[in-house]
Amino acid sequence: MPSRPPDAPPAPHRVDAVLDEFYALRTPSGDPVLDAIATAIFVEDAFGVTLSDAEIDPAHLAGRDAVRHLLTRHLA
Amino acid sequence: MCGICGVATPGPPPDAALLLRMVGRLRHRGPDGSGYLRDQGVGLGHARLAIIDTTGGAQPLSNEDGSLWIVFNGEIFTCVGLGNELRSRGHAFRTASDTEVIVHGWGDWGEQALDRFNGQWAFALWDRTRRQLVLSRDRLGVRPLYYAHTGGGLVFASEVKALFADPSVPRALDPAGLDETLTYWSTVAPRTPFAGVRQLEPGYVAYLDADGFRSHPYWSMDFPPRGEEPGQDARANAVALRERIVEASRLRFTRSDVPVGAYLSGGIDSSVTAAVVAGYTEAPLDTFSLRFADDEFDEGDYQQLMARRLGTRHHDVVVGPQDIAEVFPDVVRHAEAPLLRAAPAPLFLLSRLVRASGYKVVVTGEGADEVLGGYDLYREARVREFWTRDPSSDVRGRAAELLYPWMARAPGQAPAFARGFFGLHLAADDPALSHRPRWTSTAALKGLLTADMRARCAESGAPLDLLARLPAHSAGWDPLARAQWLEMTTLLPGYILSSQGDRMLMANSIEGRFPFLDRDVVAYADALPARHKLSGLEEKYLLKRAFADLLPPEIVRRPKQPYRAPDAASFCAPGAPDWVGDVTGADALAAAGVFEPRLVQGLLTKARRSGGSGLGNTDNMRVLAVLSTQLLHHQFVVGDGGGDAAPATPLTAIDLTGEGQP
Repeated sequence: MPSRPPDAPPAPHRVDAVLDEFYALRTPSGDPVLDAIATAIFVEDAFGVTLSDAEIDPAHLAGRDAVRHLLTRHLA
Repeated sequence: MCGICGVATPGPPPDAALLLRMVGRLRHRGPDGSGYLRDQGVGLGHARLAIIDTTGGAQPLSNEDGSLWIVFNGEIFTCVGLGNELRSRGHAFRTASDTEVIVHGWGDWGEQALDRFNGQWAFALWDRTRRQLVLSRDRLGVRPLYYAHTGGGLVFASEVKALFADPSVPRALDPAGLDETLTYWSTVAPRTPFAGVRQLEPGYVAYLDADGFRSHPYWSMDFPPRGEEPGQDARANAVALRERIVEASRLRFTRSDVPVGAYLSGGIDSSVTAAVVAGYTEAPLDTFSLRFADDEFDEGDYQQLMARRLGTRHHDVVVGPQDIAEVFPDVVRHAEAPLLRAAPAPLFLLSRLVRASGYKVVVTGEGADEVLGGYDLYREARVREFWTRDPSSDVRGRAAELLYPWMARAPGQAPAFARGFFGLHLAADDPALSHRPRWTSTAALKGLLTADMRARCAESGAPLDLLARLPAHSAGWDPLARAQWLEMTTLLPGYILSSQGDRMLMANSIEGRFPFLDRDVVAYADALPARHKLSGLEEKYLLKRAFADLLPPEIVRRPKQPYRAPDAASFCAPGAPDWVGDVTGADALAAAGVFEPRLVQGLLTKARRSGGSGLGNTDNMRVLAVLSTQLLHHQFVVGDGGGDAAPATPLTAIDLTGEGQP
């Protein structure tokens, strides 16, 4: 039994909408690394992608624009 | 809300004295009146808590020609619309009670009537024409219904202690029930802690007639395949969810002929339900809260904040460890199950406060965590899923540090321990990935059992293989949905709604009403995308969005603090009540034969060294398991459940046997 069925790539406008949902109620912990991990958990779950360890990092996951950029690569 | 009971027998009509004894044992569930019916082959009993149609509505109650008779525990919140529909079909109602809706509905629609009922119920219906007894229980198990087969017959009741009023029902603990409790925290229906005693599964209907006893589900939990949820827009979903919760709360607040109060825990769930129902009364709403003397457990500041915002007439009870220890034997007698937490005890004290304040109905936030993704266990599962994608990854392993931020010894403060604990059994293809840490840590309690009891547990075939019960198509569900299914099949009916819910409320004659467990709320929530319930690690995402305008931001934004109470610290500090020593003495342990005395004494010695406050989670559960199981044995196996009382008056007696007639 798969733990996460494969997802079809969402349309770009869906990506924006889903990210808007996330940032509407996100509660940062204050620790940038843990916040990046929390964001990675959301991104992988919501978009069905798997990030590399190097991508699970504040440099790639700090803020909506950074996440949008990362997703553009993964969902291309 | 009420208590129901009955006897079916192939022999002479059931003994009225037995029915009255059973009804008397349910008096706490229904102190406002009682009734019984005797017919050839069946007897029905009822203890009434009068809430709707308090002057009429006595039970047992029949349809127009007396061919269908019912005893009913619960509420059908959609009874007004159904009643109008049934009147338009020609039915003449003699009462304004929802009970009569069930009788007429069953008469017209048979089992399909259950699909139309939105409520919380357990009922027994006697069809004189078919000579058929029907038992039914609500979808999620809000109301209890137990039964035992007795030499060709059947006894049933809202509580086990009423079954034990019949001396032909054997009284013994069931090793299989114990095994399940020491895995899942409770038995899983139809199993109970008692050998030979079963409970009707939530969402089931059962029949007893000339063809024998049989049962089947009329409803089952279901979720759409991941990615195929009908609504993907969070804003629209929040609006629709709010509409359903508001309507569910309105129904539960207004469908009553007596005043309805509300619980306020300090969390978002009860804040939502209290805020909604406050809009349906011009008088000040009465709210009730549980506080703790120990700051670690207390949520008083948030309760006060919400009460001030709503302008309620607020009541609270402050509970300390000694209060818990004092009432715990009563708590176990009402719960009728081993308890791995002391948490039911303060709820017993809270419902006592409600009753003393003149109320007999409260609306609470129960069920939101299960239905809308609020439990820490769901966050834990999300972290474990994340980790399974690369178990060797250090950065993924650090996700465990995001869990349980409210704990005094949070994983973030002990990352090595957290990785060891949450990294256990990390298998991506495990359908129970969510629950494996809980089940594994709970099963460690079995190490306290005697060799004989361990052997009997092993022979019993328990614990039930829950994964075999998961629907085959659940492989396509989101992992959160599978976790919800497991939680709503085990802990919700087995512990939350029972030991912490119905039993602690009804012990003091209080009916709880749960808007988040409304049929339409649950159906809508089950069809939501998982990210609208658990958004990353943000729990109850959609609920927070839907009701942000009604709640103080401090409550919307606060990390979830699960309801907890002092466990071993309530029983192992100096000054513990005598019963603790009595039930853990060598004689009592030997009589029960459940726990190894040497290990129990070692555990208690360790606990007493720190007054119970220095124990870890597993040892706390061990102490509670020993105390509650020993009390259960003492009360229900050595004793017979007790609680004998005269049935409440007025008493309605109906005799259809024809005995004594010319």
